[in-house]
Amino acid sequence: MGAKAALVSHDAQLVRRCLAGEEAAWEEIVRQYSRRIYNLAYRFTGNRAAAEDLTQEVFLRLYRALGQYDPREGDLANWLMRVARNVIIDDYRRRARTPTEEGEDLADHEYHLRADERGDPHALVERRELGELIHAALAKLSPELRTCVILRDLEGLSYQEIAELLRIPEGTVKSRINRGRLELARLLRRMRVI
Amino acid sequence: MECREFEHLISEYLDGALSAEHAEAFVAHLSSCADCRALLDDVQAALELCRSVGEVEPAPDLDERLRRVLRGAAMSCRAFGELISSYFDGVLTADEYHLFEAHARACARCRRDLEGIAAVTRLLNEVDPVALPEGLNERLLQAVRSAHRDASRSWLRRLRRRWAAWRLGWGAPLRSPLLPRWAMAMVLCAATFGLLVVNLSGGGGRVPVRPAIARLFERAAEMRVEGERVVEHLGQWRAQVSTLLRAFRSDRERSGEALEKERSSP
Repeated sequence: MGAKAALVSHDAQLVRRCLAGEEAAWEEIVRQYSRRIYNLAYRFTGNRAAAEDLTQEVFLRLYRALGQYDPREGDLANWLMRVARNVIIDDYRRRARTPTEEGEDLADHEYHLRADERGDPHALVERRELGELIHAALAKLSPELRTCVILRDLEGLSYQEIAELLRIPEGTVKSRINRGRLELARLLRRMRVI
Repeated sequence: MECREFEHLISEYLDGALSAEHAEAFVAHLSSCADCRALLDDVQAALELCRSVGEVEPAPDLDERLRRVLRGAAMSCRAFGELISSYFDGVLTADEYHLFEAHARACARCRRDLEGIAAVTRLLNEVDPVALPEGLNERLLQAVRSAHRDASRSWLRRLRRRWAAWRLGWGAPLRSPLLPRWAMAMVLCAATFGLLVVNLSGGGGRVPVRPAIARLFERAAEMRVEGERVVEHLGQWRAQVSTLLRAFRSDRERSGEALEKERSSP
């Protein structure tokens, strides 16, 4: 059995166990995906409490929708993240229409380094401040631009994937990503981050 | 290529999505225009920064909370609804209790229901008992006394009640659906005749009939007394209720008048 086939059968089995109501199987899904989903939610909300609520919302949706997962259509991780993105983007659009407080507790968070400098407290503080600045700049983008930039540059989705997810033409996606990136670069320059 | 067009194509260039023809024009413009070069550098730097920021650390108990939410999703809203009263009464089993709490955390609609019911219960507990209308106790006592007097006054009424009680009591089986009074009279006559015969011909006969009949009569007398007592109580009770009703109506009328007066006064 190849590595991919093994993965597919593991996914299928995990889903089967979840559907049978096995708590340990759900624990495995939570352990594997909570961090990733929380981070996605945090990028869209810029708010710790809202990100946590949204993560719960995503898991509830996953719980209800898991029966619809078909292992032949791709691996579980992709399917889960697709559901998560849908929930988070729906929520984001709803909030964009009824704007309330936003991004007020960016400072609470511990930003993690992707690679090095973990041991250096000075670097850690700097990194944390940088993370706050970048999230603050992202928060200043209009909702449409922000959504596209986050999905492209932080989530690494392709133009086509974003177009499908947001149900807008690919041309619109391209132009929004471009405008969003230009705007972000200008904001960061004005904030003297670059 | 002009700067405007260059700006439009920056993202596609960075994502490697430009056609060969466009890419060539893009690079040509890049080498000739310092402003556009600086702009491209900025965008690249901004994106690199964004990607370098990495992940934020969720609260340490996030996973535990998610697990609780999922456990709660395992209970249906219907089952939740059926347990609400038991929850407030504190009679859920430990398992039920945990599932119930988890569901309340997981389901916003059920949580709202629960909070609503809790609020109503709290409100109901806070409501003070209504004060008695002034003089109600005296009126009640008065009513009871007069009812008692009425009940003991008319002998005719008492007689009638006794008769009714008797019919309801041990006379009941004698009632016939047809011509009830006549049927009963005939049965009674037959019984009296029988008794006379037994009494006259008896006097220590072989069959001990007389003591049995005597016992029957004793029992009948007891039952009649009991019936009378019940009827008397009922009568008293009815009189009390009607007096109370009268008192209540006049109270209501009086308060209605007071309200009316209040409204009509400027």
